[in-house]
Formats: sequence, structure tokens, C-alpha cells
Amino acid sequence: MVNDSNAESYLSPFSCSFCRGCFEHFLDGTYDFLNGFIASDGCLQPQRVYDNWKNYLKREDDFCYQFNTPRVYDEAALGMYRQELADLKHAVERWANYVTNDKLIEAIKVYNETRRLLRELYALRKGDAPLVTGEECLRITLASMSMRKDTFNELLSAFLEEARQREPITDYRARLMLIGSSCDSPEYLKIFEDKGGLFVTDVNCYGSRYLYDDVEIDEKDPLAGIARSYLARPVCGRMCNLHHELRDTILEMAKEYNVEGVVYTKMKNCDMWGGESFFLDDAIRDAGLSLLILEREEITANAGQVGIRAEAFVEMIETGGAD
Amino acid sequence: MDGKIDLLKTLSDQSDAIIKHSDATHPEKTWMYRVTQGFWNEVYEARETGRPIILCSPNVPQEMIYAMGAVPLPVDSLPTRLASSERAFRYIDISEQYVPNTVCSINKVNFGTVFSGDLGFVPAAMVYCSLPCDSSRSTYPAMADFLARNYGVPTFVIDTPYRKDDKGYKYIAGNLKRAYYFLLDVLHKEHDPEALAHFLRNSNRTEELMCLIGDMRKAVPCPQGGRLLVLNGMVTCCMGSQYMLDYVEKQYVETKKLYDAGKSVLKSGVERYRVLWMQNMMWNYGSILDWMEREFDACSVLNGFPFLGREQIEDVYDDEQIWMGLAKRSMGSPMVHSVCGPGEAYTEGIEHIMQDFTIDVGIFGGHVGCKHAWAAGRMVTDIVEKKYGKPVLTYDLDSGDIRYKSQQEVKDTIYDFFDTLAARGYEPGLERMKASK
Repeated sequence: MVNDSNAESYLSPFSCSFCRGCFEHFLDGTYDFLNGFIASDGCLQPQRVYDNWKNYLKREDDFCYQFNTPRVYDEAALGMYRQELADLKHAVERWANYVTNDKLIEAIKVYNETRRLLRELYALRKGDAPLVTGEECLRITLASMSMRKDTFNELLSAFLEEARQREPITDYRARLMLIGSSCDSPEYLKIFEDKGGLFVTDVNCYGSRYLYDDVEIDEKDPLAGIARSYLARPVCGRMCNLHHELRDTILEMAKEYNVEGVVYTKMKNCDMWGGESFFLDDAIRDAGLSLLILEREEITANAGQVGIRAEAFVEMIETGGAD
Repeated sequence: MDGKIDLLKTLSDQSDAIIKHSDATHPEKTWMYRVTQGFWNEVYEARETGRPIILCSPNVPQEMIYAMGAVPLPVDSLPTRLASSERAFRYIDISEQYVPNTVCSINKVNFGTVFSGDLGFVPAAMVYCSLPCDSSRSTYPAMADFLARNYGVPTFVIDTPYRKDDKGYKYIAGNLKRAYYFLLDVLHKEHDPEALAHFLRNSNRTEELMCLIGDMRKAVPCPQGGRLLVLNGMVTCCMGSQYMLDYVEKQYVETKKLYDAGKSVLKSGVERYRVLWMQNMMWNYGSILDWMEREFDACSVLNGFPFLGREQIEDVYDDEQIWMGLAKRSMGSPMVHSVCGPGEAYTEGIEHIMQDFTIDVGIFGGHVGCKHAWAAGRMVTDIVEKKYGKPVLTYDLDSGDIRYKSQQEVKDTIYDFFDTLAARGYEPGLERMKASK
């Protein structure tokens, strides 16, 4: 949780508070240990974190790179994306070490092992008596993002063994799924879980959308394999022609995890997830799922209010009340 | 839906009424409004006569649509036309059933007009670009999906790269060409090189004149005012059309007259302040620019997302030149060229303006929906304030929804700013005059 008031003076109050939080960490020195910044135009606001960093904070020796990600999925975009990956690889090589195909394939294998383990972690939440909470799962996926993957894989393997011996969670009242804007706040999930809900899956950048499906290993051209796997992955509304795929992913995961209610959070000023309602709301309700849409900010200053909404939502699901 | 109106007829009639009113009150200014009349009359007549209309985003080259005998309707032309009107409320309210209120009002009105059915026609196709912004990217796909599901309208997305370099140009050139052949297929047409060449010649001349006009705006005193900065937004709606070319030719002639005479566009003839609008122009409160000219002798010289003329296509029959040229133009469209890519494009653009246009004052009248521009706001205001030592006014407004902040509130803010400048004895225009004497 970050007080982003300094960042706001750069990015304005009309920006996404998640991005402001990121920039605040650059301003307050939290990220001083970093030696560079690679930006990708997921949406336009994180780009401005990069731009402001580059303009005000970049040190002379810092590596910086602007990566361009297509916003459609088709053959031309795949070619462009693969070329972008090659350009990035060359830039990294000029700055650090040579990246051979063998090294790339080895890295993909390590990451795929992370993906396999994370799927196992998620599988612990599928049954009627899950073994991990949503809050705990989010803490683990967050850790996976900031660690070397080989180290993380060892730790997660050990955790999975331990978790399988746990007492299952049976006292929950509603099986929930988190979708929406980036949520890296386990505390936010805890608000719902304290009220009797249990997050059993998600479509969240910091959850299943990070590392879930394996990346194809193309022995001849590993970059092409990465390009195909990453570009086709429905993550959020940034991709102009993957809205139906994103919707289907949400519905399939909801079915697979036996979800009863979907908590759809929209970060204030997040146009991508904000506008996705058009594609999602009716489809979620038509699938017989309850839906709670909440606007949120990176700082959960209204935990009490969210708690009331969460309690009502859980109760509504429990009693079979209308959405 | 309640409150349904025939929007195209209304806008077409309204543009006729503007001409009539201008002829009666300021006939010397009527030429400025002929381009909007030409545009809205043509779209309305197309609907009435069954000529195909292609719904598109502004950075889709209109020349290729005209060349097929169809009419482009860049959806963004609707909200900018409705920006000062209560009519926009209906479309914003419809839209906010689906998108958050923080989405740009331009896109909300786009969305609402399509959903309401007020356009009164089914487009032959919809072609849109994946830029300029997140707001557009949240609403254009929804509009396309709505039209496809309910009316079977075929759609094409022109992916627009974030980076502006040769690789990016080649990529979008390929996408534009595919869009062109997609439209030919939809309209059952053959590629007509002569027709395309005709509209490209028109747009070449339009771009060339815009370059010349842009150059003349550098002059002190400035030979053109702020109103045309707003009206020039039409170039992204009907590029290649005869009425656009006529408008720009007349603008060139009028600008050149004053330029050659070394005269200011201001009635007083004294240019006290040269203003740079650092974000969007105020589509809803364009008359404030006239008021600033009268009240403070402040001339709006340029804006941060300017239209200054783009790439020429030397050989209008050469396939590669056509698509690369249109690609560069698409990437050089207002907004796309400045705030829809790496921040350097915006900061460097402001730097160039500061170096070339003799700016005294910066105004960052930030449209609230333009969040990525706001997030670069400090970088550009710092250039004007800290590097060039010029005062900057920053305030927020919603350029497409007058409920957010009234015209009077905006005027009061601007009034206080100029009042403060005068109280502090900041008189750059008068100092320039003294120095020249």
C-alpha cells in the first residue's frame, strides 16, 4: 500500500492509482536497486510511469527500453511482435550478455515449470474443500514476480507439499472469482474472505494472467514461440480483437473452479477494464453467476465500505438471492 | 430509446443554419464554416440516397474511402460537434451504462450515438485504429461488436504501433493496405488507381497548405487566431474532400494577407500575449478563444496536439509511396503524433513550438478524459515554465461535457491568470513592440 501523493504531482489525479503507486516507489527510492526499466505499452498510463522516470529520475548508466506490443492478434501482429522481441534481445545483449537460443529455451523451461507449479497451486482451490485462500494465493503469485524463478520453483514445490497436508477450508459461504484491473493487494481479497467469501480463482494480472498456460517451445525459433504464446493470451481489454477470448476465459475458469460469484474490480481511471463491462456483465450473469462490480483505488481507504458490500454479496449468494 | 432524434439531419440542418447566421452577421467569416457544412451535408445526403457510409476513427485515411465512392464518418466528429450542446448528455448517459464515467467524453458520445440508433443508418463497414488512447480502445471495439452482432456490420482494426519509427510505419502501412482491400471487398469494388490518385492529390495539396499556414503562425504578430485551431480538427474527418481543400485554400489566402502585411489577426492589432494551448483544444468552449483575443489581446498561436501538415505522397500511383505516406500521416495525426506514443514525442513537440513560435504563455487546459496527456502534463509544463521561464496556467475541464465545468468557471480561471500576469507587469507583447521600435 503506497501513499502516492508525490507521484500524483507528476502523473496528476486523473491517472491510475496503481501507476501512481509504482512511480511513488521510484520517487521514494524503493526501486533504487534497479539498473534499468523496460516499458511495454500494456495501456498508456504505465507508459507515463516510464516516461516520467526517464525524464526525471533515470541515471546515466540505467538501461531503458521501450517495447512495442501490438494491440491485435493476427499474423501481421505476430510478425511485428516477434521482431520486437528480437530487438529487445539485441538491446539486452548490447547492455549485458549474449542471449543464445539455448539460454532462451532453458529460461522458457524454467518459467514453464513455474507455470506448472502455479497451476498446481490453483488446483488446490478447485474442490469443495480448498486448501489455500485467495489472499494466500495472491501473496504467492506476487512473490513469483519478484524472485528468480528457479528459487521460486523450489519454494513453491515445498509449499505445495505442505499445503496438501493442511486442514481443508470448509467454513466458507461463497466461492468467488476475482476479475478486473491489476490487483496486487492481498488485503483487498482478505476483506471478502473475512466475510465468508473464498476466492477460488481469478483473471487478474497478478494471478492467473501472469503465468498460467505454458509457453510453446520452438526449438528453431524460441522467440516465435514466445510471441505466439504471449500475444494470444487474453489478459485485459487492451487487445482489440480478443474481447471474446477474454470473456470465454473468465467463463471457463469460473466453470472449472465451480465459482458462484464474480467480483469485478475496476481501478479508477482504468479504461481497459472499465470498458470491458460491455463484453462481460451480461455474459457473466447469463452464465448463472452473481456479479459484484466495484471501483477501487490502489490504496484501500474504504475497507469498511467494501466489507459491507462484500458481506451483502456473500449473503446474497448464500441465500440464492437475485443479483 | 427515449429522446430519439435524427442526429445526422439535425447536424446537417444546423451547419446550414450556421452559414446563414454567419452570412447575416459576419460574412467575412462564413468560409470557416463551409467545411463543416460540406461534411455534414454529405454524410446526411449519403444516408438519404443510400450511398455507403463507413464508420471509422479519425486516423483512418479518408482518401481511401472516398476513392471507393463511399463516405467516411469518423465517429469522433460527432462529439466534437456536440461538445458545447446539451444534446451530448443523452449519449454520455447511455454510454455510462457500460463504461465508467472516467472514460473520455468524446468516446462516450461516440458510443452513445451508435447505441442510441440516432444515426439512422447501418454503416457498410467499420474501420478503426487501435490508437489514439485507452478510452478509444475501450469503446471502439464495443461499437464494432455491437454493430457486428446486431446488424452484421463487417469490421477491421488497423493496429497502430506505439513506437514511431520505420518499423512502425511499415507495420501500419501493411495494415492500412489490408484495410483498403477489406473495404473494396465489402463494397464489391475494384481498386481504381485514378480515383485514389485524385483524392491523394487533394490531400497532398491540403497538407502542403497546412504546412505553409503552420509556418506563417510562427510570425509575430500571428496572422491567425485560435478559432481555426479548433476548426482545423476537421482535417481528420474529411481529408481528401474538395470542401476540405477549399477551406484550407481559403485559410491560406486569409492568413497570407495578414502575414504579408505583418498584421495581427487581433482586432486591436496589438498582440500582448502569444498563447500555447498545451493539451487538447476546448471543443466545447471555442468562443473563449475569441474572448481572450478581445479581453486580453491574447492570441492562441498553437496547441500541443497541432495539425501542421504532414507527409507528401510524391507519386500518387506508386503502391509503396501511397501506403507508407498514408502510414506516416496516420501516425502524424493530431494526438497520435504527440501523446499516443513515448513521452519524448510530446516533450519534443512542445520544445519545437517553444523554439519556433515565440510563446509567452502556456495553458494546460486539460481535458479530464485525456488521462495519458495529464500524466505527461508535468513534463511539458516544466519545459515551458522551468526551461523557458514562461508562466503556465493549469486547470481541468471536460471538453466534451459542459456539465463538468461551466464556460463561466473556465473564463474566471483564465481571467484571474491574465489579471495576475498584468498585475505583475508581465507584458511580453508590449516589450517586443518597444524593442522593435
